[in-house]
Amino acid sequence: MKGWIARGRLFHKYVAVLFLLVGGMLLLSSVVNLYFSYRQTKAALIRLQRQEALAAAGRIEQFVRGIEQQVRAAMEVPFTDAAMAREQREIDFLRLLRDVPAITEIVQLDPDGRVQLLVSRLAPNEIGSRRNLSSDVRFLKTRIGRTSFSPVYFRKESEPYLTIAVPWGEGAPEVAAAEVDLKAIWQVVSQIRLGVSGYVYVVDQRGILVAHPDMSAVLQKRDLSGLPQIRAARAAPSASDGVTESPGLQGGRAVTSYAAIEPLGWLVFAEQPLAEAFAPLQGAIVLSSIFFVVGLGLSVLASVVLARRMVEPIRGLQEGAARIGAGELGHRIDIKTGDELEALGQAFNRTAAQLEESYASLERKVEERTRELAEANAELKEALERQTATSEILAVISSSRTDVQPVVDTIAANALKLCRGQTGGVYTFDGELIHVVALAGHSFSAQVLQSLRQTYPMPPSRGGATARAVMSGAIVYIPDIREDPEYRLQDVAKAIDFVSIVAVPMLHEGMPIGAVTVTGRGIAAFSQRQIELLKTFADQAVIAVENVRLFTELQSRTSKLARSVEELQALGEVSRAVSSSLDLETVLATIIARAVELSASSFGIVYEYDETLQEFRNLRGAVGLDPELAEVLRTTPIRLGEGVAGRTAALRAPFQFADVSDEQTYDVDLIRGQFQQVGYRSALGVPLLFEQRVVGVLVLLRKELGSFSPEVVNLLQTFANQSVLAIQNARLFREIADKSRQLEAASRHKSQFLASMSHELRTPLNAILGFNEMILGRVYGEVPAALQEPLADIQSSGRHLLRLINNVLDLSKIEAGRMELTLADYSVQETVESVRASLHPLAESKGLELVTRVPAELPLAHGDGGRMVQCLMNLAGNAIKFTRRGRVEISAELRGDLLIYRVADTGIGIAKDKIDTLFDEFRQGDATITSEFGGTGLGLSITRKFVELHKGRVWVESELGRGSTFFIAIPLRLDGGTTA
Amino acid sequence: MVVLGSTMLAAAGLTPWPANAQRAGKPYRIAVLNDARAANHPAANGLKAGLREAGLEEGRDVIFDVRLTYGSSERMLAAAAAVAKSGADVIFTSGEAATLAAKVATPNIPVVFTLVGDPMAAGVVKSLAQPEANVTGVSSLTTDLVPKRLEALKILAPWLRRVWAVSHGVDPTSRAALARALEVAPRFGIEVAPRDIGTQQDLDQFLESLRPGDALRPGDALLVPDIATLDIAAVLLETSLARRIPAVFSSELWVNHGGLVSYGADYRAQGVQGARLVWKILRGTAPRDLPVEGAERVILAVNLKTAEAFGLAAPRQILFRADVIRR
Repeated sequence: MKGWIARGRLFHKYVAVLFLLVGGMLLLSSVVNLYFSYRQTKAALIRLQRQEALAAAGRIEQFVRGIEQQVRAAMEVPFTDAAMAREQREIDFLRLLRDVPAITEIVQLDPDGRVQLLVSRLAPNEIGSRRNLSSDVRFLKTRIGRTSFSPVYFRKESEPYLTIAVPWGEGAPEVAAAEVDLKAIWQVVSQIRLGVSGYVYVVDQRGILVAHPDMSAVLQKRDLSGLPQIRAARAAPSASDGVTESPGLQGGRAVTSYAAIEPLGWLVFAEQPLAEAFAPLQGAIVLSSIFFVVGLGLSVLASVVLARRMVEPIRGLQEGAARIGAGELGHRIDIKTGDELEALGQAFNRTAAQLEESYASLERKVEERTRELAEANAELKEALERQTATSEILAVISSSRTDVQPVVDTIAANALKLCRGQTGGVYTFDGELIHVVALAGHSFSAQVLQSLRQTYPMPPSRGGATARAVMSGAIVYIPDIREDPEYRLQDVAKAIDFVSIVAVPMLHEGMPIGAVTVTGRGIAAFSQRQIELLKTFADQAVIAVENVRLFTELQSRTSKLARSVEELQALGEVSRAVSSSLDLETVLATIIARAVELSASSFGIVYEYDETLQEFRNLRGAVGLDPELAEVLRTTPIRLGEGVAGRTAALRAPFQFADVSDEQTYDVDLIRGQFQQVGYRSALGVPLLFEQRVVGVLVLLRKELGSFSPEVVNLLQTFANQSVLAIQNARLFREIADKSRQLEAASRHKSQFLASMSHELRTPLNAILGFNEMILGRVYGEVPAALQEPLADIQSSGRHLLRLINNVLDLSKIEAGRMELTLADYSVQETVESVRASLHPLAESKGLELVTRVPAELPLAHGDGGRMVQCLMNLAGNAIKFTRRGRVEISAELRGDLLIYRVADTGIGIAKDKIDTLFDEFRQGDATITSEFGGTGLGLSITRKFVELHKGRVWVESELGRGSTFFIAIPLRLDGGTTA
Repeated sequence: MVVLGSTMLAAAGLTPWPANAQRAGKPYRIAVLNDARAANHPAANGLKAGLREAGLEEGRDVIFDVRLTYGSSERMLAAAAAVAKSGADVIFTSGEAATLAAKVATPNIPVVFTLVGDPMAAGVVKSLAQPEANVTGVSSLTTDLVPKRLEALKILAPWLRRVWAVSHGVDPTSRAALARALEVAPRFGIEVAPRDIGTQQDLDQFLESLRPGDALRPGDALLVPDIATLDIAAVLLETSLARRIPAVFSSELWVNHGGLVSYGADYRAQGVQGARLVWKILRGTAPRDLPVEGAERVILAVNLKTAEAFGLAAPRQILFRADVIRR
């Protein structure tokens, strides 16, 4: 089936394509042809019809005109005499009636519209009746001098008639009017034939049928105005297009053309049934169809033939190729088309021949190769087996890191399998004896097991293969144990039933640690390759053993490391605790808690050692202590050398009681009893040493028997050191706190003392000064001249003393915190001016210039103006005091919110190192300065205090020998009261 | 393209060809009914001739079933009934009596009449343009032509004083014609004397009386009716010739036999005209679609020999007008 389809497809394709091509062209040409034929036919038909219609219109018009002419001719008489003319006319009219059956009546009207003459087929003749027809249309319509054709009218509602009114004569014409029986036109119309059944008909202006080949149709007085062709014609009477597809008058559809009869306003229609009209086309269609069909047939035929011709050789090629392809290399394609296909065939044949040749040689080669491959395959299989075994073992090694057993089991099994032996076994050597660790075999009877158990473990020797291998560290291969003189394990061999054996030692760094041994049933049952394999297994076993060992070691190291980390962490925590809290209780509690935790004890105690009493008291920081025991411990003093604490302190080293209940060791009975009661069994004491002196002891108690591990002891020692630091710190802190309190108290006392003393001092001093002044003021009489000076001295000294006392008072007040500033708005200018005024005499007396510089626009300051005056007085006074020559300048300026006072002098200056202490109490530059310049040394410190109360700053810039400048910087406005 | 299509259909022969004149199968049966005593009524002859022209051969394509009634109305009715039952395709009648009889006898079989002077007055049809029943035909226009007949007499015999208008009583046409004659008589200055002939006896009586000294006076003339009953026209012709009484006939036929003057439609021509209608009916048109036609050709015939015999001069009016002049 498939072959058939395959064969047919190309063929069918070609056939189809060719057929479609040709058929399509034919169809197209036929259709186009037909279409154009149709159009041509139609055009021709319409033309023809129109011709016919025009002809008919012409004839009808001719007919009517003819009658008109005859009427006119009848009016022509060669007589001028009216009577004779009339007589002649009568004759002519009668003749007309006789000769023209269409004329039914003729009447002659005179210019006044009166009947002169009337002859008729139906009505009685009138001769000179002079009947008045002046209002008749026949008369009226011809007044303009032109022939008038009346609209068609029907007698008896059936017979169509037309009146032709002919004017005759110039001026006011006479009229001759004829009634024309339009049935006569039937003659004209019925003679016209279009084709077989085409005909012509006439309608008047109203669309009423006037003439038709079928007289009956006319006599029916049919109104055709509704028909589309009539409508179209009436709309465009002079158009020359036909109207196709109009309803035929006889029914059916027809092609219609028309022409107009202008003077009458009639339309002539030429109609032909549609089918008949296009009959000529019939022939064309039939012919086309036949041609088309024939053409199609031919094209089918041609396509089939062509396609076959094309396809046959291709098929031949295809079949040939298929057969060659299928293997029939001897087959040759035979195509003789003399073209490319034949060439292709030849090419195929050549290819086939070549294929045959190479195939033959190929077969040979293939055979060779196959053989080689088979060999290689066998080898590979073996190698694969080995690889599988090796990787299996490796897999087991990597999956069981902690256990050697699975590995050696796998090794034994694989060794057995791959060597095709009786048994496979893995042995370990611990340095003395060889042990069996894995054994694989087909079945082990009780006997075999028994014999093995008896043999192993055994020391290395030459008696057994395994033993020999371990001893020598070399591979031992015994092809036949019966031939081996040194072999001793024959009974084992018999039990297992083997004759050959190979043992490969497991070497770790050159030293045998075991062996892999395989036994075989036959003699020399093992190949070199198998022995190689066993070597590999042995190495793997070594690896496995090593792995386990390493892993185990790693594990223990890791756990040790973990432990160290833990300890460090605890240590760290303790250090943090120690450094974070100065509260001795807290610190000790933390230390004990951590120590207890790390040593896995039940509770811990820290004892403080009283050196003088040589005993331990002040039990501190017991954690987890039983209250009764605590009470006992607290009240029972422990002396040096007693108990845990005592021994520890005595030793100045950690000391343990492995069993506190042991009387021999623990000698503090009371406590021992208590320990026993609570259940503590072992204890550890760690000394707290500070600079080689025992400060205390840390004791840890446990409910378990036994000693604490050295690591724990070490750790606790570290804790002990930390604790010591903590204790010392705490102590120091306490001391400092105490000292501070004392200092503060002292200072307070000092101030109070100063204040009261000053007051006490001032009172008598004021009295002295007062009285002195009164004496000097001659209140008590005249003062002798010799007393004037001494009294004046007294006055100034007293004043000086008063100033000192005031200063001291001020200072103490300030220090006591009782100095208050009186805040108010004050003028800087005034302040500076008052200072200047006060000091002016002093400066003048020393020959110094005293200038002030204060900007006028400086706003009001808010502060204690009085104190500021005092400060400035102090600074300026000092300036004057310490200046030998030159000037002193007092200035003030505003920098932002800050008011800056400046007192500059050209004095002796201040040494750099003295500047720092300048503002301290009771200091001056040095003693020499004091002597020269006087002063209490209080001024600057008071100034500083006041400035500081003002939330300001005072400093100095100075250079020795060049002068000094003191600055006060205070906020301009200190709004809000301040209390120092 | 529809046109093209239908044309192609036509080409394929799916539209019928126009009907052939030759009908496969049995021939048409046409019954002929009139007053005649013989089978050669001129209208019937005209019918046959007309059908022959259309291609119908007698015997092969068409069979004429002629019923002779010898002018008897009873026979007429019986013949009409028989014809109605006979399965004729068309009944061809001449004259009112036959037409009315046929109309009464069958409402189905188409009837084509000829020689009916005034179909509407006769009650044959109600409308000329649209016959309402199964009857149509050719009108001989008697009523319309009566004035001209009188005029012809007057022209030939200017001394005409009185015209005997002979009529057959039961004939509505005659009555209508008579009425028309009476109407126009004053115009010609003549008197119209109606004379109704009911029976043969009446006719004999009348003829007897037409003698000078009796009924006949100078200036009398005869208006011969347009019927065939009792062969009145033939008898009147005889009388006219014998007693030199001017008479006007309705058909050229009589003038050929010596009548003085006739004005009317030829009988045979009416038959031919009727054949056209018959042929249309045979082809399938219904009578009601065929309007009643007026006779196509109305002929003025004059016999100069008779005129001379009567001592009448034919004036030019007649000579130039006459369609047929017999010498």
